[in-house]
Parts: sequence; structure tokens; C-alpha cells
Amino acid sequence: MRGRYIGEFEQMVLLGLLQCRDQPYAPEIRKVLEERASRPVSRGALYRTLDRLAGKGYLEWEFEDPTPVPERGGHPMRRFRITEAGRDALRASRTALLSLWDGVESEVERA
Amino acid sequence: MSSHPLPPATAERILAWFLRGNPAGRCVLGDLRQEFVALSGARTPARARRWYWSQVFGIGLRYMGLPIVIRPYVTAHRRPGIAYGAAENVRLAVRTLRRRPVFTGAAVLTLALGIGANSAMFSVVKEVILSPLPFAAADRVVQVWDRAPDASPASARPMSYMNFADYRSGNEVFSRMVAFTGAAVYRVEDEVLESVRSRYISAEFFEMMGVRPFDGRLFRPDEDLQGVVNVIVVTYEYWQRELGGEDVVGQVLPLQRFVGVRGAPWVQSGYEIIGILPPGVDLPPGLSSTGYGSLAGTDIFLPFGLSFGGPAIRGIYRLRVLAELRDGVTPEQARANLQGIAAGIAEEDPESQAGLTVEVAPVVEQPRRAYGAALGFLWAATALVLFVACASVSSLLLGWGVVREHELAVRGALGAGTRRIFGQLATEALVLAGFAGVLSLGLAYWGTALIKALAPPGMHRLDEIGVDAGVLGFTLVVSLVTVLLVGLWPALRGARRRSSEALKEAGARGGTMARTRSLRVLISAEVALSLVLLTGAGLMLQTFWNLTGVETGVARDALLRVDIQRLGPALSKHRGDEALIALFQLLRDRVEAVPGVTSFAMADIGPLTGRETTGGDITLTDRSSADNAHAMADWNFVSPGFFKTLGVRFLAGRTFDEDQWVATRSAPPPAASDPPDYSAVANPLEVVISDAMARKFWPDQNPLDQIFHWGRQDPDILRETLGVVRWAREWDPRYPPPSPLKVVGVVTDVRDRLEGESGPTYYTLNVSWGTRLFVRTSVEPAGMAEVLRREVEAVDSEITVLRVRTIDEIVSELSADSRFRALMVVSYAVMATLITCLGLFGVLTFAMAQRTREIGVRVTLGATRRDIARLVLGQGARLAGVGIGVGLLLVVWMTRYVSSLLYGVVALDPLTLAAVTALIFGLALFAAYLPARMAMRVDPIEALRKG
Repeated sequence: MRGRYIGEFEQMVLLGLLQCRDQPYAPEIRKVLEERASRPVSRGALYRTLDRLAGKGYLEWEFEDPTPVPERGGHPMRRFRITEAGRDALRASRTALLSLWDGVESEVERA
Repeated sequence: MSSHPLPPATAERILAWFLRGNPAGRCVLGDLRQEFVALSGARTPARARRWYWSQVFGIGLRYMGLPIVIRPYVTAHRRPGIAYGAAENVRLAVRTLRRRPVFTGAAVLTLALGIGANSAMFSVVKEVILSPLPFAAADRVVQVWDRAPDASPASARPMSYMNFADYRSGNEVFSRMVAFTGAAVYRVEDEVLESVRSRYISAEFFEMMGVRPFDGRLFRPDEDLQGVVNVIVVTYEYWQRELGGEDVVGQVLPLQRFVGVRGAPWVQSGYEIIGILPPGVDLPPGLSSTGYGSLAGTDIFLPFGLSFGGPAIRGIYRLRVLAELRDGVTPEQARANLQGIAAGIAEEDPESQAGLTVEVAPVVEQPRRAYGAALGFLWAATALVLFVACASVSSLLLGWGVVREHELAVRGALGAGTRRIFGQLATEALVLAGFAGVLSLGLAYWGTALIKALAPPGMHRLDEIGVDAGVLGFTLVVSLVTVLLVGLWPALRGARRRSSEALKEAGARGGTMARTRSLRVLISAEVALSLVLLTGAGLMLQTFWNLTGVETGVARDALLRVDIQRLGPALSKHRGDEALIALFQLLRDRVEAVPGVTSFAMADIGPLTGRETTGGDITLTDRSSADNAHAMADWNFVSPGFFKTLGVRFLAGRTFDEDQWVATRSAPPPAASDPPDYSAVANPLEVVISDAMARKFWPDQNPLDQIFHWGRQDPDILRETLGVVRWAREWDPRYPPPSPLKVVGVVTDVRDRLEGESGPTYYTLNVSWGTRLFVRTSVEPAGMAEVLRREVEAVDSEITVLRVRTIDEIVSELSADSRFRALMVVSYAVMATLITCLGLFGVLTFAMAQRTREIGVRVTLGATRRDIARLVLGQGARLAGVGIGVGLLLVVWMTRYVSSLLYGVVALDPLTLAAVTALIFGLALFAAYLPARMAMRVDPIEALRKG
């Protein structure tokens, strides 16, 4: 059970990925996170988290030919995609969070 | 593609290195490039590059998770499931160290002392030796000086105008050649004269320093030439302090200036202020160890052209000369070029310039020359302390490592690899060094303040010394090197041990001493280095004691020296010999009336001024020209009662007739049309000479009644004039008037400096330049300073008392250099010896603990307590003995480096060596005594059971 929980930032990265819909690459995920969650996201933290999520099997990527984007200097592009395991993890943490939120929303709102 | 801006290549390479081994690393590089391009459109290139750099380190740190240095350990130890990161290593190290507070405290303190002393010393060396001099192209600026044939290469004699002019016009190696010289100037304000610190200076000097005027202009090259151009440049500080910071450019300042022309040596006129120097101009300090002139502290600069006065004689040396080398010219080439000119000068004027040698030395080397030997010695001492500290901590870690072998072996058996254990031990060392580094910084601040407080006053850039970024960097480097020295050896040892062997041995508990050979080597090395330091300390202390106890030639108890501002002919009153004699008598009456004063005298120089006596030319009538070529002696003007007041002993003869005053010596030679006054020739002036002068010029004769002359004269003409033809013959106007001086007494040498030999000196009766008053008292002199100051200043409002000091105080000031060295080295030596004793104690205690079982067996077999004590003490004695042997060899090797710093003691002083050896040996035995006592108390049954 323990292994299926994911951290807050990991959740945000996965959700941000999904928000982008069309297999985004890292800077696009970062942009979405900064815009929607309105918090600064350091590139180091993002890349590290993406690597870690891939290591856990929650997302995967494929390399794309960089030729159409000359300013990359020939370095390949990496497009991310969430895996089924990733969806499961998101779902599990959503369920857990919702059950924890159940009945306390008014408490929090009042404060 | 190339139309896109590219990120900094180095930054990109660093990022690629951070990401090496990451399968998607190149994607990250590509992402960043793309973002960089997008950003470059919106920001300046510099800001975009800065952004890229910050990203590189942001990402790098995330991927490393910790500083680069520890990275290899981390990757090496990472195991699935177990967090073996460096953070864990550090945490483990801190925990382990905290379990041993005494060990940790000792190690950190020892290291911090070593590093702190090093940082403090470095901050001094950096300012005094490494800091650039205030020239636009300091590396090309050289000092040029003439050297008399018998002078040492380093003693920089000022240069004559004529020689300077010849070098300047004839050389092919300098782009600029400038000179400066002191000026005697008083500011006239409401009939009162106020001394102003002033210099004549070449116009190009300011250019050479890269100085631009704050206001107005600086000197023009044509103002370098002889002619009256009454203009001055003032410093910003003088302008603020004395001129009220108002708009003074173009205003005229009335000054009285010494021009040295016969009849009217002092001229008063107005000088136009043409410019103000910018604030904080850093004027070059003294340019050699012989006090070769300094511009620091000058208030007013006068154009070089005004400095011409008196005769143009090659034998009058007044200028200090600097030059800027042309591109690609070495100082050696410049010297060769000038030496060619010097040869021509010597040919043209063989009488005063025979054997003329010229010296050229880069100014950047001057502070190094002045303080190099002393600072080098302290530096070496500091480094030794650091080494001893490192060795000590290393032996502590090593000893601890041996104790922990069992623990490490267990860890190894449980699966920790060699690298893992190495990483742990290295991290412990790193943590120790880290704590020590932080602590040492505090010690460095404190040590720097201490050095500043103890350093002799007047040391170059003393005020600038402080712990700064450079010192921090240095501390960091020293810390890291220390980590390597301290940490890696034990870490390597710890890591190398095969766990199975260690487990076996640890179980068996025997033969540990065989493995502590490196420990013993370290301890012996510490003993050796401590011996070297203690010897140095002993020698420095003796030097200091010798200097303070040196035979000064005066009776030191109850003697005060009162320094007053120069009277001389500059003051508005007391002008002329008669008035000055009257002033002296006024002063004497007033001072001698003070209760407790027994006698009073006055002199122009007096003892213990700290200056190097160069002496002036004299001529001995009964010698040939060649013999007279380098006859020089120092001429002192003294008042009646001088010898009695100072307690200078007469070796032969008597003091001079105290009514026969000698005229001022500043009279220049007469012009050809001005027939000299020879009336004095028949009636020679009486002089008293020093023992050194008697020994030098009349070694096998009775010096009494011998006759000599002041100045460089032709002895043939003198003989003819005085002996055969008397003064009927026309006197050669190139020579000073032939006043003969007759020796009536010989006194003991009176020292000007504490070190070295006293030069030949003669005394005549004159008070015209008197600046020093001497007061002998029948009561404790220290309490009389205020009374004397009041009484002396009451005689005339134009007399200002500068300082009142006892001779003992002066001696203590003059020996400040040596006291500073002695104090520093002694504290270093004490520190090193303490550290060594701690180390020795630690190692023997540790060895004892290892041998408890063996001792138990011995006691069981009948060994007495005495045998056991002998066993342990013997071990300590052997370690110390080897160290002392090596240390003595080191001392022999270092003798040649310290000899120049010693006075009155030889570098291989047997007494010092014996004392130091005994001290070290005694301390070593004491350090061994405590473990020995422990050993004697070993209960055999307990020991065997534990084993």
C-alpha cells in the first residue's frame, strides 16, 4: 500500500501533465504548474521529479526528433505520457484525500 | 541555426557533467537551450547568461543532492532500500563524534589553532608583501641608487643631482625617471612658524602613480628645471585639515623655505597653490630596509626645480630616485645600461665618484626585502604549527581507527564495502575540518588583531591588515588540504583492512603495536617539529634579551630624553648662534631648577635614534688622497654637559673647552670671489671622538691631539696651507674652509641602533640644530614627563615638546621588532609543544589500553610495578628520543635561514639546544607518566578476565 502513495509535488506534476493533454515536454508542464498552481517551480525539482516518477513507472516518455526546433541545438525532445499505474496512483491519492476531506470542509472554510 | 544566441559553453559543459549517466540528460540540455533562446529576446544577453548559470547550478544541485566533493562516496555506497547518502554519512559522523566529546574537542581545537594561526599570518603577509604598490605599472617601477664601493648592495644611498641628471639624459632603458627629496618648509601664519611636511617631487611622479588632480593641476615638466617657480600642490587631507577645504586653488600661501644659500639660508615668500591631490592618495612607503625615503605623510609638494640650491657637487647626496622600465627591459639590462654611464661619471670625477656602482631593483621587491626574512620565519613557524596540529589530529584519528577496528570489521562483515567505510571515515575527517574551519575563522580574527597590536609601528600597510575574502579563501584551501592530510591516511588504513583479519585479530587482542608504526612516526615527527620551534623561540628570546640589555654607551637609569620640534635657524626668534646659545642657557636654567633634576644637556642627534649612521666625509691631513677616499664619520653637535648628563665615559683625554662654540655647519663653500676666512686655522676646534673612530683611524697611535678636517678635501693642499705656506696661498674654492679639528678626548661608543656596530663619531660644541634635550634626575624619571614638558614649553611659545621618554622606553621601542618576533615564535612554540604532549599522551594511553592483557600476563609472571613503569616510560622516551634526533638535524639545517634575525647569539647555541632538548624530553616523560601510572595499577586478574 505504501508504495502507491505519491507526494504532493508528484501529484501536481502528474496533474499538470494531464492538463497539457497532448504529450507535453517538460517546460510546458512547468508553465502549466506555475500558471495554475501559482507557485514557482524550479527546473531542477521538476526534472528530478519527472525522473523519479518514471522510475516508479507512473509516467513514460518518448524521444522526438529535434530537427523542427533548431534552437535546441540538436538535442532531442522528450514528450511525457502518464501510464496506467500513474492514473491508478492519482486515483488512489484522490480517494484518500477526498475521504479525509469528508466532513471537514466546513471546518477549514470557516477558519 | 547559428543565428540563435547560444548559452555559455562552460555552463553547458558543467550541466552536461551534472547530468552524465542520465538517459534523458540531453533532453534537459535541449529544453534549457530552447528556453534560453526565448529568454534572450526579452532580456539583455548578460542577464540571460546569468539566468542560464543559475539554472545550471539549480539543476546540478538537485541532481547531486549535495556538494560535489562528497558525490563519489554517495554514488559508491548507494544501495537499494538503504539511504546511504552523504547526508546520512554526515549525520553518522556527527553522531559518532558526539559520542567522544573529549576526542572531538581536542581534534577540533588542535586543528583550529593551526588553521587560525595560518590565516592570521596570511592576512599579514598578504598586505605587507603581496599587496601592490601605488603605481600605475608597479611591476615596471624600479628604484635606482648609487652605491659607494664599500657599502652593501642593499644600502641605498641618496643620489646627487648631477648623477641623476646624467642617468636621466643618458639612459636608454627608462620611459620615465623621477626623483624626490625632503624639503624644510615652515608655514608662516601671524608671525608664527609651523612645520609642514613637504617634499620636492618630479612632475612625472604623479603620472607614474596614475594620480589625477582633485582640483587645479599638477606640476608641469618645465617646473622640474632650475628656476624659481613658487607653486605648490597640497594633499586633500592637508587641504581639509589646515586650509578649511575652501576654494584655495590660485591662492598664495606664505612659506619659509630652507634654500641653503650662504648668508640667507631661509627665504620667505608666497607660493601659489596650483592643485589639490585626490583624497586618500596612497603614497609609496619607505622603499627599502634602510629607510630609503618615504612619501607617506607628506602635506605639501614643491616642484623639483625649487630643490636646486647650494653647489652642484656630485658628493652631495640628496635624491631618492625611481624609474619606470620601458617595455621588455629587465632590471638587469637597465642596471647594465646605467653602469656604463656611472663608469663615465667615475672617470670624470674620480675624487668623489671612484668605483661608483649603480643599483636597480624593482620596487615590488622592496617590502619583501624589508620584512621578508622576519615574515618568512614567522610563516615557517606557523606552517610548522599547522603540520604539528595535522599530525596530532591524524594520530588521534589513526589511534581511534585502531580502537574501532573491531567495529569497522563488524560493519564490513555486515556488508559495508571498502568504499563505504572509507567514505564514512573521510566524512568524519571532513566534519572535523569543517568545525575547525569555522572555529579557526574566529581565531584568525582574534589573531590578526593580536598581530596588529604587537607588530612594530611603521610596518608597511599595517592599518590595512584584516581578515577578508582572500583570507577566507586561504582558510578554505588550508582546511581542505588539512582534511586530505588528516582524514585520508586513517581513512585509507581503515578501509584497507580486510574484515576477516581484523575480526580475527580483534578477537585475539594482540600485537597491536606492530600496526601502530605510523602512529609512532607521527609522534616522533611532532616532537621533531616542536624541537625546531622551541629552538627558534629560545633563540628569538635571547636575541630580544640581548637587544634590550645592549651596552648603549649611556647610563640608562634615571635619564630622560625630551624631543622637541627642531629649533634651528628657521624659527623667527633664536636665529644665529648667539641667540641659540642664549636659548640653551635659558632652557638649562629652567630645567635644572626643577626639583629632582641633576643635570641637563642638548644635542642634535643623541643616542638611540634608530637611524643608520652613514657619516659625513672627513679628511685626515697625514694620509694620502686614496686613504682618505672613504674616510667617513658622524658629526654630532652637543651642548656643554652632554657627556656628564648622559653618563658617557671618557676613555682618554677630557671634554672640550665649554666656551668654545662651533659655528653652524650648514655654511656652504665660499664663492671664488669670496676669500675664505682662515683665522680659525691657527686655532683648531676641540672635538671629542668615539672609541670606534679612534680604533678606525688611529688604531696604533694615540688619538689625542690628532688633527682632521670636515668634508672631502685635498690633503696635499691642506698640508701645504696649514704647514708650509700657511694661509697665504689662495684656497681652492671647491673645498670647505679648512677649519682643523683637534681630538681632545675619546669616549665610549654611544649607540644609535641596538643591532650592529657603532660607526665612528665625533662631537663638537654647538646647539644650533638641537632637537633633543637630556635630563638626568635623582628621582624616578617616569613621573617627571609633564613637569618637564611644561617647563620647556614655558621658555618660549615656539618650542613644542614632541615626546618625553626614558631611555629604557626608547630601548623598548627600538626592540619592538625583535620583541614581536620573539612573542610570536614563543607562542607558536608553546602551542606546538602542548599539541605534541597531548598527542604523545593520547598515543601512549591508547597503546596502554591495547596492552592491558599483556601487562596482566607480565604481572602474573612476576614483573614488578617498576618494571611496568619502565616499559611504558621507555616507550615514551624512545619516541621522544627519535624525534629529538631528527629535530636537531632540522635545526642544523635551518641555521643559515635564521642567522640574520639573531643578535648576540649564534644559531647553534649549545645552551639553547641543551635547554630545549631537556625541556622536550622532560615534557615527553611527563606525558608518558600518566599512562605509566595507569599501567602500574593494572589488576592482572581483571586484565586477563577481560581479555
